[in-house]
Amino acid sequence: MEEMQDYRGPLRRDLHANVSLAAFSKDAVIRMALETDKLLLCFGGCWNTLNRRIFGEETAMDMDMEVWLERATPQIVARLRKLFNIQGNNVSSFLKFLQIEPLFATSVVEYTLATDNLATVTVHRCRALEYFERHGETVLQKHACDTHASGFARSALNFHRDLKVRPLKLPPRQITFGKAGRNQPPIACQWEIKLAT
Amino acid sequence: MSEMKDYSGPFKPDLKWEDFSKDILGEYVREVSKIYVLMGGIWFGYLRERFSAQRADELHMELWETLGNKHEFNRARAAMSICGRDVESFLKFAQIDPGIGMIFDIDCELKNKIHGILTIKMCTALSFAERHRDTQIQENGCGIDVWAIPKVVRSLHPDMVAIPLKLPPRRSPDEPACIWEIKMDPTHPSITNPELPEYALWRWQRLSGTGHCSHSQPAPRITAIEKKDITWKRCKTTEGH
Repeated sequence: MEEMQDYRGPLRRDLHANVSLAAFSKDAVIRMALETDKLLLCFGGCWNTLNRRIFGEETAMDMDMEVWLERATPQIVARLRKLFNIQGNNVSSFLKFLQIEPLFATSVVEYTLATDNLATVTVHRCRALEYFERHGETVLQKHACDTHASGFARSALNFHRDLKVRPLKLPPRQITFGKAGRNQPPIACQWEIKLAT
Repeated sequence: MSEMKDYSGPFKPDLKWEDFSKDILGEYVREVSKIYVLMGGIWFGYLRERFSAQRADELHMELWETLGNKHEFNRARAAMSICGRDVESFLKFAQIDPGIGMIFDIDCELKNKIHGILTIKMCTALSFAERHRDTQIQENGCGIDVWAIPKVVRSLHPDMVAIPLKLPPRRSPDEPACIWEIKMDPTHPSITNPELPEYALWRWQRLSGTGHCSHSQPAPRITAIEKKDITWKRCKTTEGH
């Protein structure tokens, strides 16, 4: 049967958990992957918004740290590594994980592996940062970037206890305007990944 | 270059989703969907430890009002161009929803244009709760669905209703987790079924802000409830909360 580009047509009863996406084209599956990644980001954002409103900034930050870093990150790392069969505990294995991790997967990121033990990760476009900038959410931006910086370092520890993540540049960033409107914005953030030997 | 079935090979700095096979991409969607549902459980467990089961329940209800009804319901439909506002469109959404069809074993039967049956045969969240004998997490998860499914169905069309024909708890793992009848019925008085289990009734009453849902007294139409919700939200905004 011909692959479906989307699901405009009639209901197909034979679509269920194990075969549902096989009926769609690869492009459609990629669209679905990106939307599911974004949904997971929304999940984090909605919890944070709710917690800040009810418990205040500081407690919301504590709660995010505990839930995402301590409880969720090890499971997310383990599940995605297993699915993609990402073996090894070195810098390149960690970079491979980042490429499929939902937040990075929805961003525009440049990965540069300088040596076996050293890499640079440059985030050119970050959906979350763009949302914060668009809405003037400076406090939320700082909170999200702080949580992410800790989460990033925590993910690396799931690969190797000596794998260190160091921020080279972090938001906020300066957006400038020229005659033709907004100039190309600077990078969102940049990180050094180093395996201490 | 051939498609990659996993990422066991060398690091590719310029990796694109297109480099992977469709099979592994499909599995990735399912895995992230599982993480999405798993995160609900992680948050519930954390809040229950830190505060109480009741507080965790309240916060969860409030969260899913936005996350489920807005983001989860709309993102998947937009990605797959499911634009209709009928029974068939809801069943199509259920099949590809990261919170339902993407991870649970379901069956969607369209009996005719205005009548369908959604059967969730295997629900991993219910299986988890049963395995751990965790009634609180089962009642929280099912309590949210009993509210959220009818609500999103009615948001598609004001005359469309979702009536639970069977809900947990169940006597045996061989039984379906839950069964829903989705139909066009302009005469149906409410989004709920008077035969709901106690845990579902209690949550429905609290979320709708009415005490009208009882066996003897029919609940008001959702349109009235939604108006009340909107008024309540406006009040909160004006009060600066």
